[in-house]
Amino acid sequence: MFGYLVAAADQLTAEELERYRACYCGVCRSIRDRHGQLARLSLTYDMAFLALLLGSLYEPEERAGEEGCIAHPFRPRSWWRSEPSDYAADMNVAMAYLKCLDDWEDDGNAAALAEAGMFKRAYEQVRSAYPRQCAVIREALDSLHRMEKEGLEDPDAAADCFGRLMGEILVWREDRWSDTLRALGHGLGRFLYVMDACMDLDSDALRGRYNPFRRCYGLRDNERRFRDILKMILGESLLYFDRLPLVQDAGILKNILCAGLWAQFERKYGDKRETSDGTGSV
Amino acid sequence: MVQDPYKVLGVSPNATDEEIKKAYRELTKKYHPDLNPGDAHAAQMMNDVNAAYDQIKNGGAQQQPSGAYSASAGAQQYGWYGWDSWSNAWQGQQYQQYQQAERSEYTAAKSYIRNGMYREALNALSGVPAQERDGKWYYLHAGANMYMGNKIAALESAKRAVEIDPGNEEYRRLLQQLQSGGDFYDNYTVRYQSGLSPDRLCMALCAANMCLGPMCGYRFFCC
Repeated sequence: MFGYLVAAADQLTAEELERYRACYCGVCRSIRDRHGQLARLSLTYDMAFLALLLGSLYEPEERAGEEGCIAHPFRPRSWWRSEPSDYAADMNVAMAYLKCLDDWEDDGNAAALAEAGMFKRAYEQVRSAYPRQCAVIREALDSLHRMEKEGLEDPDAAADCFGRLMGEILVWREDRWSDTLRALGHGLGRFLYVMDACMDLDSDALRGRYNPFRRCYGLRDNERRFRDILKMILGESLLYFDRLPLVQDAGILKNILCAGLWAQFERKYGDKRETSDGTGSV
Repeated sequence: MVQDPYKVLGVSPNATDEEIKKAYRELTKKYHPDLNPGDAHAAQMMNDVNAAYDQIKNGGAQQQPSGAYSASAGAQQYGWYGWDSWSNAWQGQQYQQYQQAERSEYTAAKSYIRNGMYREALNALSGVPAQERDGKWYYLHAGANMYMGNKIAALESAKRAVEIDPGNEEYRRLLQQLQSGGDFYDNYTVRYQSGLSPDRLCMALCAANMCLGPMCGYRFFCC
């Protein structure tokens, strides 16, 4: 995934930050236990968001601990995990596998195929456990692929593919919350897609790669344009988010949706006056 | 419809969002079917608590959110004309404007939109050469896209329509409506950053404006 769904660490309390990091470590450990060490490399913070969100909604039992690991061998890290962490780990692997296949078909990238081979067995397991999600991920990535091939520069249609994908991933189980979760995911997926497209716009245009906003390349009001589009999508998402009865970790989740997910956008498009004198906005 | 939803949840009508959610969670734990197997009273309470929560959260509407996919409820189904005095007034005004000669593409596009044929409307509009596209063109383009759920294209075109013709009240209203999601996001974010809980009245108003529910038509677009 993209890794845009991160928290703004400076706006979290010390306990929240600890809990957030430990959630990520928990998902990472889930991947290791279920799908092997190498698969951990594909993990992004987006999946920690998924684990936090579903954990908050269902409040399942948690296990916790403090240990070193491959990524942090010398300084033990605390972690906690629950069923949603395992689910997030599985979804991460499914996404990683299907994305690699895509990249390989795209430009015959042999490394991508090798990577896909690494995830194949893990993916087959995940698919038999979550056929509904995997079918939609596959269908959505295929549709996106087709649009890219045809050079269809339609931001709504492209973003909608990713929206459908995220909508399905957020629905862990079909129950009284699935409609709300699916709608929230649909918004977040569209947001992530648009965010990624506007972050990559310059490099895509320069290298002649597909980007649904290519006709906007180099325009002066892009910052405002993308900010308005992104906020419009997020506003809808927040309405659905608000309907979920979230109490546990609600502060972290709101931090991600209200502040954290703008971090990369601000670095690229944010106040240029600060960056021009070399101080940067980080 | 349950009695007083706040009473069912045991909170005051002025309760904050957090208090409502906490109360809801405690009650659903208490009456959960796993803990009360075969208990008809608990099952009834569980239903009431769920209904009360939905009623508060959905501003009285009984439906679960219909999902962003169906957010584009469409002009045909939810009546883009005749549902409130606003649009009637607009129509009257527009009727007079239309007496002057109008491009055939616009007339066609409007007729398609009225009949819920948005793709055909966009097709008709695409017949207008790029250099001849005026505010009206972008307005109609925005409207057809909005109904199809193409919010990005709708926002871009509505902005363009206002840019070309800043004095046109219709165009501004349409743009305002499309931007209500962003305004809502700003409001929510500011309240989050100042440690306030979300403003429930604003939520309800914005939900109506953004037209996420199945019951609301798009208020500010008519042609």
